[in-house]
Amino acid sequence: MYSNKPAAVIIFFSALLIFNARLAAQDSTEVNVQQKGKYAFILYAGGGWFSYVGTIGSPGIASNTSVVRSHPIGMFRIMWHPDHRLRMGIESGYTDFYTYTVQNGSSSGKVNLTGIPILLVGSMAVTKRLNVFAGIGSYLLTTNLTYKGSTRSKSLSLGINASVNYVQPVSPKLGIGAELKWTDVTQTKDYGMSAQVMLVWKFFEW
Amino acid sequence: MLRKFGRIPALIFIILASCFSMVNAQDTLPEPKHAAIIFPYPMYTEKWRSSIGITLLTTPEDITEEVRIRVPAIDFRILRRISNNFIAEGRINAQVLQNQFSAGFRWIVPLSDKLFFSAGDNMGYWFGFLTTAGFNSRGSGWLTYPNVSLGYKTKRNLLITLSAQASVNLAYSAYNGKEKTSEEKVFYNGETFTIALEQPFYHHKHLTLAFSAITNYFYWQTWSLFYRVNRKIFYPQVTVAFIL
Amino acid sequence: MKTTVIVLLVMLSASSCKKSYQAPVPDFDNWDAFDQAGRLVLSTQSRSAMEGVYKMTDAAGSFGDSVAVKWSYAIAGNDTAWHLSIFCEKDISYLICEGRKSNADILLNGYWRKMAGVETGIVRLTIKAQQGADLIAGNGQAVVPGSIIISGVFGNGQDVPGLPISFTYKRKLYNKGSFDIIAHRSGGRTSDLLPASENSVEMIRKTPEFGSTGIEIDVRLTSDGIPVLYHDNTINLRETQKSGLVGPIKNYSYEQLAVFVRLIHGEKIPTLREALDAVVYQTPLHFVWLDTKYAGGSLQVVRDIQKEYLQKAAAAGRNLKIVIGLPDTNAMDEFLALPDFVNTPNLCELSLEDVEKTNAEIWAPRFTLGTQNEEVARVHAEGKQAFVWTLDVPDLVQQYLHDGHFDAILSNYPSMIAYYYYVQQ
Repeated sequence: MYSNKPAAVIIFFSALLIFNARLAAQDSTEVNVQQKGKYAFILYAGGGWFSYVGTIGSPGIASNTSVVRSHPIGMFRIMWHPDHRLRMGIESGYTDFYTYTVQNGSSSGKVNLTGIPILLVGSMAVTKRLNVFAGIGSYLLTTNLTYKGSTRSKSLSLGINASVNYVQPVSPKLGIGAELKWTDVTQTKDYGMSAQVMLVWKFFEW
Repeated sequence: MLRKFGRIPALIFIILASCFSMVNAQDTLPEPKHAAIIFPYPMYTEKWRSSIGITLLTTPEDITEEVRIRVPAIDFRILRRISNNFIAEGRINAQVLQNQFSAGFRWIVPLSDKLFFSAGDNMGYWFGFLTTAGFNSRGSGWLTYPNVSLGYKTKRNLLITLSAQASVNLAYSAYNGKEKTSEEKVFYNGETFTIALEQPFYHHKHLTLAFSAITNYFYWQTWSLFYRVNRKIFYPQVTVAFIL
Repeated sequence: MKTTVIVLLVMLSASSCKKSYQAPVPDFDNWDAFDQAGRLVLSTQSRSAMEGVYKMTDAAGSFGDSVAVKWSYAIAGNDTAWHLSIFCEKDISYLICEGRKSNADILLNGYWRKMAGVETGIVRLTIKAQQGADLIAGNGQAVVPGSIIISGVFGNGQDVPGLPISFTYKRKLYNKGSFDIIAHRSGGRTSDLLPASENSVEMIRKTPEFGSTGIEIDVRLTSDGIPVLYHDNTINLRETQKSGLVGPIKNYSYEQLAVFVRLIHGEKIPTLREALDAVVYQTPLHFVWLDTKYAGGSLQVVRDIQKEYLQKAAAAGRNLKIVIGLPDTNAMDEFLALPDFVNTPNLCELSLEDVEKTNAEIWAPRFTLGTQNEEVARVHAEGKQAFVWTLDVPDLVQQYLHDGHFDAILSNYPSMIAYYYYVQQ
């Protein structure tokens, strides 16, 4: 019943930890200039493509006529950058997990699952441009079901995410970046990878 | 063999087999008073260290069903120097309906200027009460937590700690009204593996972030939902605390 | 080096994680002698004669010193499948076997399970002609202590059984007349790793094997007003296989649930009608407790189905009681809004005053309030019954059977209730 989820969670956090340890042991001058003595609020706004990895389909129907695992994804994140390595913030956005259709005799049906993350996020800069993020919180999931009528139903589920991004400054307050993210709605076993491009805006500094 | 006889002896063996000889380390943390609570760092000068934060765990859905997310527990830790390498520690986990107080010691061994090891034991007393919705229940018990930790101090201020802790139930009793509903004596309860990061957050404030993988037959926070079942249950727990 | 140490520690941590926690029923359909044996035909008197309390002479270390042996049946189509259940003292264990006749011997083939854990295995038993099989078949002799010896082998998991087990007839089963063993959620919870899902027709057919004489089932309404059996408020991975449907079950129509959702063992979410059909026509169960879990809706649809199946049971010659459970004041208010509530069989979990207000046949307090012997006596004096729920701890069960005066116990472990009830003297 617990498969290897505990192992996966431990290995995930440990990998993050080891990665941080190795990079943190490197030249200490590789630190973002903005960390030295200043505080800032940073907005990350991005979009990209999400690919669902978990199982999809209706257990009640032997075969699903079509399954769509990849959809666009959007996110925004507001991070507080204090005067050290660790940052904290919140993240939200929109993820379209998957869609599948079924045929039951002469009737057809369609299920679409989407999610809005509401996560508390921590991050660390491991080099001047490379950052790792880890988030924990909830996903507001929505099922849109069409089968002999339409039903929309919502549920709040626990979830985590982890990502690594690279930010290239284009001005003192703006940067563009690319991010790879792992999303895991642990309570419903919905997970996948996404790749995004993003705009990074330091909108307040003191 | 590892599964049957426990990971703790194996962990100790590996640590001892892999580590350098003991060294007399100098105090090299920039602000040790504020820097290390979980990290096994000696207390060279200050007498006290403490932290305050929260722990949050999720419970197994197949057993606790729709009662999944627990209210965070307040987590207060305090260390008292006995000698450079011998520290007394205390901890309060408060969740109103159930709470645990624990106290114990740890012996810290600097293995190099970056690697630190500790071994210790804590004794915990928990109690809980539930007097609503037709319940008139209360429970309490004693557990002991032998533990070992290995800490790695990076060049920057990041302190990384890996720790392993066993849990042994010493006593348990639960009552409904005046009737005793269950009682248990000594049994081996399970293990907890923790990965902790301690580092400066803002100004001089240091933050502890820890993830614990608890696998126990019985966990005090879920005493009111069920007594121990005859299998270990996995509780993932996150700790966030400010070092005072 | 240091990173290596960290990695090693992490790997050890990861290795502590267990594999899936399961208790699958072993495949016991590979006993040649049993496969070649003939059909076992026993009269009701013969089965009844065989039922009793037996003393365990081998395998007491695994199953305890005494066992309670009882027959049950389930009907599938035109076939009636009889099962011999052996309820044991230790670790909430039981053996469930089918029987066949081989020459003059009786062969019993099945499996055992310890509910306090996940241990299970195959069991193969024989009653030799001279050790009770002739007696059971009806040779005119009376069943006396020592006259029936059931012996054989049991094993662990899927291993070929080889450990000796035997038990000898001691006395009849205790039977005070009307005591019900009510299985929670039709047989037990999903977390108990039973071979069928909670609140399913498959579990209802199996539950008599576990010693149940009645069931408690959870009733919810779909968006189109169909009462179905489902415990939780939402569709989740505790109760169902992954389907992409989330949120409250009441958001979905019955047809949507029937097509897209399967319970954890693959069953459909049953309607209340399907469940009661199984109870009336396929099992010997004689009590059904409808725990209505929806709020803000009318109980009339459940009341109508209750009335319909009470009539069907009566027409089929079945002694069956179906009651609507009232767990809280909201449910009670909805019940009191029914036009004929006075004549509607119900079970009230609230106060004795509420029992009178609703004209409940049964008062069912939570066990945490104690044996409440005075209150139970008052209820009995009014010609009503008293049930208690949910008792899962062996010490408490013994206490309530010995010191309490309840007429039924609701439990996730009906086999344990069956053991402690039937071995009484």
